[in-house]
Amino acid sequence: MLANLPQLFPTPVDVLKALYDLLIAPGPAGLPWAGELWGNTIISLWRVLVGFAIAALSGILLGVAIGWWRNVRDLLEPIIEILRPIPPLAWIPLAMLWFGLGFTPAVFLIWLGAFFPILLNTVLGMESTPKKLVEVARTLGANSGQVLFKVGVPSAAPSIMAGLRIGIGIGWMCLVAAELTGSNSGLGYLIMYYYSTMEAAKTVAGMLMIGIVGFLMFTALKKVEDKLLFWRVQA
Amino acid sequence: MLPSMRKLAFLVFAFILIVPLFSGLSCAPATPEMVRIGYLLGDLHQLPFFVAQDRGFFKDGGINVQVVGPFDAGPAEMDALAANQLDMGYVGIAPSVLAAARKIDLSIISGVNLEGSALATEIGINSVTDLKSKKVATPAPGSIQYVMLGMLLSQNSMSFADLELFPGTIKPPDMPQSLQTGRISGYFVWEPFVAKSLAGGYGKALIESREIWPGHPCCVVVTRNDFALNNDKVVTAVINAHRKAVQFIGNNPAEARSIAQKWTRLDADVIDSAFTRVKYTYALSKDDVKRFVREIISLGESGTIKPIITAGDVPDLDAFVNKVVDLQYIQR
Amino acid sequence: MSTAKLIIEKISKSFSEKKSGKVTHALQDFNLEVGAGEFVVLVGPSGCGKTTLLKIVAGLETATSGSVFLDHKQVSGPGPERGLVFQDFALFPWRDVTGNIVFGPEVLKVPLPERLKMAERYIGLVGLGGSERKYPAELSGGMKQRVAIARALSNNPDVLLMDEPFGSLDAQTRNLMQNELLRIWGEDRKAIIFVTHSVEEAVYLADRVVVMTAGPGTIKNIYPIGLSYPRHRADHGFISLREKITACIAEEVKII
Repeated sequence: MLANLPQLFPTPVDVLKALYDLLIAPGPAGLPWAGELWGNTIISLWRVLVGFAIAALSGILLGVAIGWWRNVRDLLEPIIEILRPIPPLAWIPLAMLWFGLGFTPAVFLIWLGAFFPILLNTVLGMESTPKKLVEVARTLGANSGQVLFKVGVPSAAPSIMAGLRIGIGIGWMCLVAAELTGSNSGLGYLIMYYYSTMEAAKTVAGMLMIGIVGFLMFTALKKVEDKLLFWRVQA
Repeated sequence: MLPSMRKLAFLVFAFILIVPLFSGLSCAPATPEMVRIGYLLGDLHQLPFFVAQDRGFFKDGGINVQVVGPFDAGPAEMDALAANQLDMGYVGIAPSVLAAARKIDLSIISGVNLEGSALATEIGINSVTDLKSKKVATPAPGSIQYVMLGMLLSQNSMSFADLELFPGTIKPPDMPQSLQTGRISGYFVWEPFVAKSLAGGYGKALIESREIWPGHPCCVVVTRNDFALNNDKVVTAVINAHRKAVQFIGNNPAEARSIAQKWTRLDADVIDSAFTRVKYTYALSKDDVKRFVREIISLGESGTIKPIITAGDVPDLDAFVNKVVDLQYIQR
Repeated sequence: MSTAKLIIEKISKSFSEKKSGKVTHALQDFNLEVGAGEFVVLVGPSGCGKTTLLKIVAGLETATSGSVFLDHKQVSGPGPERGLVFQDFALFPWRDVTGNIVFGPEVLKVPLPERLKMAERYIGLVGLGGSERKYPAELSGGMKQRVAIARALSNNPDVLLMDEPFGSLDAQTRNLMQNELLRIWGEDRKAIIFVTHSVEEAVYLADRVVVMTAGPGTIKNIYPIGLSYPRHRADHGFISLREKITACIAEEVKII
């Protein structure tokens, strides 16, 4: 096994060189100018952002409804509790069957990963709306709709933001699995490609890129959260 | 570098270093008379392995085979070999040559089959040029079908850039269905997954691999050099069993067919159709291997495919092939 | 026909526990009239139902029987004519001081320029000038309560309901806020129903002090406080009233 060491252990120098090679190599179809590394990063980022945006919209809307109205919750809770434990990976064959190749099945899988944390945190946030705040609002003359949007939703905002942060993390992690189902571009695909051609340094370079971009997205979202939720009491 | 980013970089590198270490250490060295052999998913080319296993040819030779796999594609199998999870393997010639070019210490010691792959397409496709801008699937990059598609395109003055290629992200068993549902217009893969589309009536075999290069080598048997060094008797016994199996297939087609059905889970008529395209063998030609490496290098240089092996990887091709191909076992 | 602003008539309230079916009688036949601009303080032993009564007047709870009338119209559900101030302030943490105070006019669709003018007025009234842009997390307890009071006043309610509003403040701030409340009430005279545990606070603030019985709560005794404002806690008249009321409550505690 020791004879195979060079193959299994790319050195940091090898990885840096691989990163450089990937930066200057021509980009994927549609983005040839962007270079192989950036081009595929942009493609993956776009998929994750679209999947995440849909998850945020659907998760928050559904979460507000379920968290606020009991009969909505009673109706939808069983379905959600059944679907939630199914890992996104298990949906892969269905994703390919329904959505074919490329962009759509990848976005679907990313949506699946991000949706549930966003939904559940939104529900939690809405359910935790302090009763006193609702009472005060009502004594000030607010109707039900106003109580929902001017008290419930702002009160749930910290929880919703936490859900979004978790959701984008999971969505990004689903990326590699998502791109292994009928993609031919993106960072996940790039890793698979160089794993297959046994270019370990480039594989690791791709992994590194995934880690870095994920970290940056997460940090960016945290900054947005801190800006929006500055009014929180520092515990 | 921000402190948090430095921490991240450290974690990533630590992870990279530690994981292969564990994968290597977790495998016990093969005990005498025991050998771990890998194979490819549903690959009809590797029928001699299935036959030898089911007919007890390995046992007759006094060896105990631990079947490892199936692997989705050659590169993954070679990775397992390099990480000491396998001792020997039935694999495509391209991944084995690729692994050798990456300095993995292995030898190719026997042929398994010739030909036996094809480009399956929609009924409406009449020539390779009809595939321009269409979606075509192959097994993982670096596989023999991937390279042969490159050769075919080159023969038609095309390159991978003219197609929308999906290498490695559609599993071979899923390829017929993808063709049927119109997701892809063609795929180049090993039997019996070509025959499946034909049998289903929604595909045709546009070009067979033997039309691209008649008598081309396809699957081979490889062994880790350190294993062969210490287990000469075992390796010999494996090749002997393999030889017996090849002869058996020739003499007992019906029996062979039912073993094929068991390991690939396909219908009899599909397998029969596939049989017409596969030639089983134990022979191996150094010249053929040389030609293969030359093809991969030149396809990369001409821009037909993305470079996989470059001239720089094998500065002395003759020496490389002489080192990698070891004919002693089939000559015994 | 009585000319009182707020009439609480024969209010009874019982709670029945869902699981055990046990019934608790919180209030029994409670009757009280409050005049416009009158400062009434409710005191009583723990569990006498004073908070429940306040909630019923606010419309956040429904009485089991009896009614509440404001200007001779029956009250049902909460509304802007009855402002409410909680002990724990219940400010909207995501809104600044101005944002909290304009909430009432905002939901009643008062146009923006008027809302802001109103907010300015009440901020001045409660003495929070300069803190318009501060957020609740940045305010002290006393300041928070001023915001709560201003917010409750912003819809110009007929009655202000206050549930132990100074209970979570330290002694100094508490005294300060009592004086502030009296000053505000002096400038903007509304009917106030104020609930407290502190007899001293009751005597300091009230026109009348209503002592409730132990649960099921009803009126045990009403003490008009004839002292003129500002009152002095060391005053002989003050101390004697305080002692009388304290003794009255103590009787109820013994009975429990």
